[in-house]
Amino acid sequence: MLRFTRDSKTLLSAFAALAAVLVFLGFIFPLSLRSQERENPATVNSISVLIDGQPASPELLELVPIREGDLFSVKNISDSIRKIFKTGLFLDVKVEKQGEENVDLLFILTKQFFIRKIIYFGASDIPRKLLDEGLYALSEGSPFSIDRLEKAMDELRAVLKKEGYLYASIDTHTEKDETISQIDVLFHINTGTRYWIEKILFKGDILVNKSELIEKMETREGKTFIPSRLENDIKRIKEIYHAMDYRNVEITVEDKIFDNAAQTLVLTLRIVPREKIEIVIQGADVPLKLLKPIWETKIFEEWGLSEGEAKIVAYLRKKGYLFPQVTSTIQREGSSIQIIHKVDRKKHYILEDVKFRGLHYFSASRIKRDLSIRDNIPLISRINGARLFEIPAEIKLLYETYGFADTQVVLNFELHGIKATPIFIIQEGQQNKIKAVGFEGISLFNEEQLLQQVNTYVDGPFFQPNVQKDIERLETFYLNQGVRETEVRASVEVVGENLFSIYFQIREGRFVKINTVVITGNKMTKKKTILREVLLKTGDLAFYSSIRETKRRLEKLGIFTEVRLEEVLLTEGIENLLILVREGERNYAGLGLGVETVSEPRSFEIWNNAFRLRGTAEYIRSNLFGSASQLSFVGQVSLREQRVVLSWEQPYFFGMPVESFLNGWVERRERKSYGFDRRGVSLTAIKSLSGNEEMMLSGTLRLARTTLYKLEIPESGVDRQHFPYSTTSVSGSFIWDKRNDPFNPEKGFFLSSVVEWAYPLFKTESNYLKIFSKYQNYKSILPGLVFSATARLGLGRGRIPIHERFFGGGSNSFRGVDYDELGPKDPDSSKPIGGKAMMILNFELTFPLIYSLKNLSGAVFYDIGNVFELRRQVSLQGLQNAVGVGLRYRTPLGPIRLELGWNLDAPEGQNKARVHITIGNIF
Amino acid sequence: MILQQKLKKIYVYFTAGIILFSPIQAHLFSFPEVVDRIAAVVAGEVITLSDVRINRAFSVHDVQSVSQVSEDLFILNKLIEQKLIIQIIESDIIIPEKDLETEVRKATEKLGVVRTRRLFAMFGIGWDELKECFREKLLFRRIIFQKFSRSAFVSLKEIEAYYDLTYVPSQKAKGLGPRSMLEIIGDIEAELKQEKIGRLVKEWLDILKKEADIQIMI
Repeated sequence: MLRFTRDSKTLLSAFAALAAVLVFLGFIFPLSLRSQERENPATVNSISVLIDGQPASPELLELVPIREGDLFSVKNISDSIRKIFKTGLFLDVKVEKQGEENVDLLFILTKQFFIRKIIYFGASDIPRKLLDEGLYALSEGSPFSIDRLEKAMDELRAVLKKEGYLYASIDTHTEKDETISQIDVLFHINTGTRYWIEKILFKGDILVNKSELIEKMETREGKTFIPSRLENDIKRIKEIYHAMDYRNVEITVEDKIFDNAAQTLVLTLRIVPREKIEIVIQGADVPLKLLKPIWETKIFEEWGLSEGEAKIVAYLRKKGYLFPQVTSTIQREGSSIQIIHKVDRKKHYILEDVKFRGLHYFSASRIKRDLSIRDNIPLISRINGARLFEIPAEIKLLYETYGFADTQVVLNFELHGIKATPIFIIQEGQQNKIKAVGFEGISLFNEEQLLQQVNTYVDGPFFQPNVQKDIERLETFYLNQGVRETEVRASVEVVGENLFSIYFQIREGRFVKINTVVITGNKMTKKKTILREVLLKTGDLAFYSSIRETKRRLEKLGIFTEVRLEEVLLTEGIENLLILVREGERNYAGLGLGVETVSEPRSFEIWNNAFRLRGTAEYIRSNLFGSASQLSFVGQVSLREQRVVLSWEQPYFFGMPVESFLNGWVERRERKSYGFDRRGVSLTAIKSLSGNEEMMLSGTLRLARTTLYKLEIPESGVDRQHFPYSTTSVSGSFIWDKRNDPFNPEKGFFLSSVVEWAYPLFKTESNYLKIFSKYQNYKSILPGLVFSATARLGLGRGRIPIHERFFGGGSNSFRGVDYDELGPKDPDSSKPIGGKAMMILNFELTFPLIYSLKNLSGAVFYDIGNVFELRRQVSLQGLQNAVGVGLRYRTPLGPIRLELGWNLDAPEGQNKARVHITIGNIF
Repeated sequence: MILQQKLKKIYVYFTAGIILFSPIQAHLFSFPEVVDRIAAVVAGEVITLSDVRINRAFSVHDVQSVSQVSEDLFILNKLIEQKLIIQIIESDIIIPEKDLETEVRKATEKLGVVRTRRLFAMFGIGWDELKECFREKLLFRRIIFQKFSRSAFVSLKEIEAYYDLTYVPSQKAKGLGPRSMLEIIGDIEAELKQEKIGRLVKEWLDILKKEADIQIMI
């Protein structure tokens, strides 16, 4: 121990030196330890997550794939950053650490915002569509970043420049909704002024009158300068020169002289016509417009000539000149080029049906069906002469897909006078077959299971592309079984003449289970509404088919504009399922105006007219209470009928996956012999019996009160005239729809059946039972030729009021009479009274009319049926018959139909013919 | 005497305090350190700060600037270009294993065994990950070569101009006699071709980078 006998200065010096040494040891040594690479790995002591400065919710904590106790590794941190970024929820990810042996990790995440709306201010004379079309960097629904915003502003400036706003300025600001990570982007555009065109000058070899050019242009002296308009003007001027055979004309803006003080500009256009290219076709009447586009760009002349020859030959073949010959030359004179095609059409032939020789594997009908080769049917279909020459390659390809690699196909003709029969002579060759199919590297599944997934089988045809498809099928199979990171390759061995063995080499991944389902992006929608559609839960294997089905079910709710499911791998065999949703607009309002008719169009008087205007208004509010329920209000008004319906729709019914509708309505409707006011409520539940909703079952409970405000038959003909008639009914229906298209069906069938039982409950008078069934069938005989048949049967018993009876007649049931006019009539007023039984059959054949007008078709039809007052009156002798013809024009919502029906059983003195106009199939 | 006694007390207490608190100084005075973060995102693919550091530590790219910050940005730019080109160009070029091993060997020989091992431990990577860094670099170079090597043509006029305007004056400035053009025509052509390719590549990359979705976070 030191003795403090010396003077204070010495003491103080010693003290200071010791302190310095100790400080050095105390501070620096640990630092130097930190900077050394550790030989012993550190472990993760704790993990914290901050999102935009706030602690993350427990759900989002699950996104971090590192756990406390894991070994600390920079690579693992890097991988976790990539995985977190891949979820799409975060724009930036940073990880900080503290501590050496026991490391505390802090994940600092910046939320990714998605664009909800893009709003433009200040560019009112520029259509929004133009601005949106020029904007690529940002769009509604896309991720937002400052870099993209900068690019977006450049893009908008480019759009504005094209519209003549050469010095526009753009400011932006954004409005964030932190709760759902969405952002609105607002662009404030100050367009500035545009320039006026003081003068337009033309330079170069103009060849035409300047006034003719100016007439074609929208850009004029005295008008504003709009570059996009000038671009279109240049195209139009080019057309003038093209018409004069100057196909390579160059028109450029040579100069723009701006006067900033006066805000004007002088525009100079230079025109260089280049060579004149004239196309001459000798020996055949071939439209020049077929060949002109070939020479509109600079091409190799040899290529242009052969391309022209090919087009002439194809055109003539279509016309029936099967063996034309074309020779072509180019002649030059000064700056003109003349392209001369000399055509020898040879003889014209009428094509007969195609024949095949040498077929063994396929039948002729099979080849015709697979390659859509039509037979010659007058007015219906004909063989295309040009296509005939392409068919050999198509036949060859068809054979290849079935393992025939060496098939030869030659097209020959049998000529008899003016008729030519095309004959395809086929040498099939040997079929490549599969001798063996094997799997290597499998342990999770057996060979039998895998063989069921592939189309390749022993003794089956060998075609290399099919093997690739099988690889994809196997990869999908593994994914659907919850296995990830499986790799499949195939090796093909030649084991004999035309014999191949295929071995699928599989590097199996591993089974992956779900750790947690993380839901994000929902603001209004309740978590349980989403979880209800999720087919996977913690501990389940990650079946890919279940993930896809979950996505489909969420999309089907109709409340999200985007649904994304991401698998975030945590550790080997464990992953989180991340569900990202973007909620859509919840309010929808619509207005519609249309025309309705139920009678034959005879007059267009406003009040007594046959065509009546009808207006529709609707409002829908979706995703009520975050439960995917929907409330809608629909009102329809015409001069004769009005209807208001309020509906509540929800995807579940007391927790069961049954779509249900609660409707309340008030309506006034007018029929031929009566008019009624009705109000009521109904509850309907619909359950799909098949995944694709082809088969459905529904049940309805209905309570309605009906009052007749108009009656044109005696009171004795109805059950109640002036007092309201109340109905309580329960009905069940079954629908099975296998049509290929519900609006324009060409094949398949439709079956529906409804049973309604009205029982006197709640002091109602209803007491009847009704059943109504409909069956439709469609058959496509040839392309465009469709035969369809419908059968309708309705039976009722009990006391059925007039407004519940069966009525028939009109464009959608029996076309020989007007709407509702089929069946029994009141003897005094001759108005229809309806009945308790109805039977109607319709048969129709539609066919193409004009080959080039694919949407126009004709129809012939035969309707037979009747409405019977009582069930016991139903008989075949009592059925009425009608025939007719019609025109159809196909639209996406069904065909517009104009029909003329002829009632073969109309009473004497009554007009037999009826004209109907409507939209939609009769069926 | 009293002063000495007081100083003695101060000395004892201070020493005790230093000794007692020194074990926890490292923890109390340690600052959070950024382990890793996103450096850039190229069309949805992340480049992390570790990627940049690994490239720098193993000298995957030839770095010409001085400060560490500039080096990092230079390397990041190189990685962005690599990612962009490899994503855009669907190339079936396969880099032979031999070439990869040569590059890796050159890099690790410079560092030495001990340092290499320490860097592997520090970054948590192994030989495979390091090879991947070099593979991307070589793939990028080969794609560029495939695309541009034939498009850079050097004319005789350009060679003559270079000879007259650059080579001869530079030799004279050094006090050396210039060699004849015939002797060095090959060297001049190679150099001019390299310059041209470099310019073409730069122009092409600038256009691609302008149109691509790239976000730089550091």
